Formats: sequence, C-alpha cells, structure tokens
Amino acid sequence: MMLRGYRDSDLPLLSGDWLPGELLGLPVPGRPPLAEPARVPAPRDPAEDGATGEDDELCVVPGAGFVRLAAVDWVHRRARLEIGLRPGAEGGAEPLLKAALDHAFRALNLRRVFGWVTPAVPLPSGLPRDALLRDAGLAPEADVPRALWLDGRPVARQIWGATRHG
Amino acid sequence: MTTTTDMTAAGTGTGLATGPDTYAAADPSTDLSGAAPEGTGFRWSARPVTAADHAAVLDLFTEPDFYFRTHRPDTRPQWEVLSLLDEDTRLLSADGRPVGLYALEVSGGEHACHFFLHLRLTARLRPDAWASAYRELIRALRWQREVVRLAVVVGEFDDRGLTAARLAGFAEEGVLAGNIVHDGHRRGSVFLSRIWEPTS
Repeated sequence: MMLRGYRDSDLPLLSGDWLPGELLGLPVPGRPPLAEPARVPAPRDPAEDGATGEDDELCVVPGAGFVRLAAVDWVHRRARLEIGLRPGAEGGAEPLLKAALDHAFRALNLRRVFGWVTPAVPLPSGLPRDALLRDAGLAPEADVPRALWLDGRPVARQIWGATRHG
Repeated sequence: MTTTTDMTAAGTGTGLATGPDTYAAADPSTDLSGAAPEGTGFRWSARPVTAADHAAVLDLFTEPDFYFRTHRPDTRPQWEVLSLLDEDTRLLSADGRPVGLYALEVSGGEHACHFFLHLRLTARLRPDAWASAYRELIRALRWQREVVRLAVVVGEFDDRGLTAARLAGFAEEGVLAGNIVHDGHRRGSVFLSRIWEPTS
C-alpha cells in the first residue's frame, strides 16, 4: 500500500470516528452520531508557530485514511504511531499497518514505534485486532488502567510496540 | 541565482515534440549503455516557480524518485514540498510542459565560480532527455558567467539520476558513505562534477 505526502485537499481524512490516538483507528461501533470526531492536526511547518522539538510525520492513502508518526524523536529514534481509516476502508487495515511500520523502520530509520490500543472496543466487522497487530510485528508491552473515558466509564488501554535494529 | 529562459536545445533532435509519445517512459535498458545523443529535440524553457505552478510541482513530488532536495519525495507533506522551493528554484519545461525543477547554489566564495546544481526531471522523461537538459543548462550558465566547477550530488540508489549525470559528462569524484537510509539500508551520496579551467 503506497503512502503519499499530505496535501491540503486531504484534510477530510484527518477527522473521523475512531478513538483519539488509537494505534489502529477504525470507526467505533455504537458511537453516538453527535460525539465529536477525533482529529489529528494537519502537517505544517513547525517554524510557523515557533514550536520546537515536535516533529510529526503524516502520510495518507488517498480516500482511505492516514498514518501519523507523532512526536518523532530523532535522537532516540522513536515515535508514537496512530492510524485513522475512513468507514468502508477497514479492509485496508492490515496492509496500511504494515506500510506504516515499513515507513517508520525502512524510510525513517526509527528504532521503536509504539501506540495506544483500547481492548474494550471491538473492531468493526469482527476484525481480529490482536492477530492483525502481531502479524505486523507489534507486541503488547504494558497495560494502562483507566486510561480513557469511554461510553460512560474509564477503560484501560494497552501500549503495543515494535522495535528494530535489536 | 539566474533566470534562464527559453533554452532552445541544440543538436540533432527532431525539433519540436508534437505528441505524447515523446514523453512516454522508455525501457531504461535501452538508454543506460549507449552514448549520449546530441539532443532530444525538446525546446527547454525555465521560469521562477509561482503559486500558480504549485499544483504541477506537487504532482512531480508524487513520484517516488523525484529526489529534488529530499530523499523521500512522495511522502513529504505539502508544506514541506513547498519549503524546498526558493527564489533560485526554476520550473523546467519541455515544449512548454513542466517536467522538472532545478536550482543553482554557490559553493565557496562568490568569486570562485563553483556551483552546486540540484536538477530533477520527471520519471516520464528518459535519461537522454535529462542529459539534454543538463547540457542546455550548462550552455546557458557558461554563456552568462564563468563556471569553474559544477557539482551534483546523487544518491547511490538513484540509478536514473546517476545515469543522467554521467550521460551529461559529469565525472564521479567520490562517495560520502552511508549518509542516507534508503529502503532500510544505509547508502551514500555520490559527488559528481564537471570542471573547467579558471581564467583567473
């Protein structure tokens, strides 16, 4: 699956019905229609607002979704991965996940990629989340209790990660 | 640096290209080993990049090997692509159609006549067309100023760029090893140049 650099016309891809920051962001079943969509910022020149130290790498698959490596740390060569897929593009989850990790490790030469996973929320269409993540090379690293308010209660999240170069 | 316009290609080409066939990607195997032709028949022109050209420029950067001031062209966001353009960047057109970018940078002292050239053409053009563009640009530069050394830096993995530079007569000077990670492996940057005897 080919990732492409962000263009202003891709803005609609950057908001949607996934959980904020979710590693594999797919539409959440049963989400109230008036719940505010999750959003990620469009890529922009960090010099514009004087921000320093934050470097995001965001690419898109036109019409399907985005891949964001947030807060890329070029010294320690790590980043937090989040993916957002439009409704109807769920079938692209597996190749997009692999393309994202390939980009992180083979193009950006990162050592570590990690992301948030929310086990309480099933993936749509019965997609096997754990198998998808493990097949892509990710492994569960930590449980974080009460990490997210969701559906009237706090729920736990997990950190899943992948490393390269030993 | 300079506004170079309407560089009509010299040589034995066919004159004005009239059809899309001229732009069709050719089998590179037919282009890599032969001697450089004298010209491709293109009528080259160049102009500073304006906002009206941004769509055409962004389209060039969707090509995975459009290595103009970046090693990852197709995944760069819009702001970053546009940040690679400066007042010295020129949009290069063949027969009036945008096909690439170039920019000239002074290397060393202003009086030394040493330059670095960034030039990238669309993958739709064959390496001999690239070589023609190089030659026309060099002809224009040397017509209006003294040039002692014109250098280009090409990734080791960039077969098209290396082929075009060699076809245009650039000689390899050395490799800065391992300064780019490409497709999961560290690769180097090849320095190539053309050198003319200084007049003073």
